[in-house]
Amino acid sequence: MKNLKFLVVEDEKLAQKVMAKHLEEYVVDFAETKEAALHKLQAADYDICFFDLMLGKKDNCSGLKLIPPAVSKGAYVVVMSSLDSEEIVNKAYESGCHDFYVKGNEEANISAVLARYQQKNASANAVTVFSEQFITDDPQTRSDILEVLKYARSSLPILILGQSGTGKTCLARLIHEHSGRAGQFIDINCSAYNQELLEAEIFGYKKGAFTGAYENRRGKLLEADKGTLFLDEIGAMSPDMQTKLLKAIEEKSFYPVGSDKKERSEFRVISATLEDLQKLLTEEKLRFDFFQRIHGFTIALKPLSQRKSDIFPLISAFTRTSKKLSFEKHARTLLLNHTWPGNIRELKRFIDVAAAGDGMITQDTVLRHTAQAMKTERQSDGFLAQEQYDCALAKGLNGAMEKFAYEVIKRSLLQHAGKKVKTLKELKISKRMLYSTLRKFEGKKDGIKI
Amino acid sequence: MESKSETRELLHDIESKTAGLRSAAKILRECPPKEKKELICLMKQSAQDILKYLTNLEKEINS
Ligand SMILES: Nc1ncnc2c1ncn2[C@@H]1O[C@H](COP(=O)(O)OP(=O)(O)OP(=O)(O)O)[C@@H](O)[C@H]1O
Ligand SMILES: [Mg+2]
Repeated sequence: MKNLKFLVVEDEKLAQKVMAKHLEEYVVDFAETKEAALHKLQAADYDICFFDLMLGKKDNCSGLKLIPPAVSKGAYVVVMSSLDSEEIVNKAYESGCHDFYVKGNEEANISAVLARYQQKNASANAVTVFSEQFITDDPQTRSDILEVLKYARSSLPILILGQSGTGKTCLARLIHEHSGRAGQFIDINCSAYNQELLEAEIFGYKKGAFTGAYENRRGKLLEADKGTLFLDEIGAMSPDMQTKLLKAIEEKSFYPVGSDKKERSEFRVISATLEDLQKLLTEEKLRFDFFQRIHGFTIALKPLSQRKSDIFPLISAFTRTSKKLSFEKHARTLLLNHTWPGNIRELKRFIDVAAAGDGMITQDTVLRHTAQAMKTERQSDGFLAQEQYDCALAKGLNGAMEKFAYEVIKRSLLQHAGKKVKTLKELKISKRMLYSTLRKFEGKKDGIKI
Repeated sequence: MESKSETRELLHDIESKTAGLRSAAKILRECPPKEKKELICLMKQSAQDILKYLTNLEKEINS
């Protein structure tokens, strides 16, 4: 959906400034007189118009005359007035305005206006959302998504939970597209970087800030100005980094690495994780204050196995621009019976492969796919636990192996009442490995004696 | 009669200017320094207008 465009007709400079501040993430045009406003209305299309009624000294509500031309061009028209006499309100509504508020409490009034505008457009939107943008027939998922979209236009932070491949990134993008924000959708996967790189990536840096910083570089925060910052895999962000980011979110400003020049950015935060939220909190991987700042509204996406009615609508959507697929008699049933551990990503890959081939989905193709997927899943139940696999996806294989080594060492130490010699012998590892692992995960602690 | 409508107009102006000041005061905290300066300048202008209107209103009442 396109970005929202506003026209604000207001003759007072101070009031203009106030409106500009409250609408700073959108594209806003201003006009001070009726004539200038009519001109602008002719030249461009606006989604929402705010009209002051009295334009200039001793004006006889000339703002009212702007309502019909704006309405006829399809704009949502809001009258803001310092007068709320019944007569004026009636006149404004008679002229066709959609909304009216009394000046003086802009923050609350403007968000209420945006919410009402949103609601007016919601039913028209729902059809395209679920058939084109986020395909789902599942009643609960639909209602959850409609609920979250109600907040799309606000700057409320949103947290998306769900297994890998359930559509978290897809949903974050959808929310951004419905936000009407003029800026870009900028995503960053926190697990793809080590902490120093992550900091440089998010905050940007100044030339010479560290080895390899050959030039000034804008960070994701600045790129997301007036737009949306999507933080994927927040569980992989160090507590230190969370504190820094929390400050930037609260102050809407930050310092790039190595710079003493403060940068401002008006970004909206959406975050996501596939990890268990409660666990992240109890294990203190997610700082409580940071969590509180990012979970204004939380939505959990169900795995595909719990919304199987979506399988065929998704298949049609994935093949809209490619070859039509044909299904052998029992192939459909087999597809429905499969548990899709890789969720929608797995389904998409399966369909892409089929469409690239002869477009025929036979019982055999499905069985081969499901056998492969189940094998991976069975492995998860045996040697490789789902949690370990998720950890490797989140931290990368090396990070996961370090974590695995730490957990094994910890258990062994516990079994030997903290006697390191026994653990060294039992696990056949070097002292160096034991100490560096403990140091990495526990810091400099020497409570356990050798 | 004339004076009554003058009074009404003054009251409206005062209402509208004070509402404007109040809205501006609410965003002041969040403004970066440069914008803050600009805003304060406009707010002072509005405050002076309010003072002027109040003085006129006082005159209206006393006359
Ligand atoms: N409801 C949906 N409608 C259409 N396409 C979808 C939907 N959900 C997911 N997809 C597609 O499935 C793929 C995986 O989705 P996405 O990347 O959003 O999942 P994710 O939950 O972010 O995964 P990860 O945890 O690995 O980041 C993408 O290609 C996405 O476009
Ligand atoms: Mg994703």
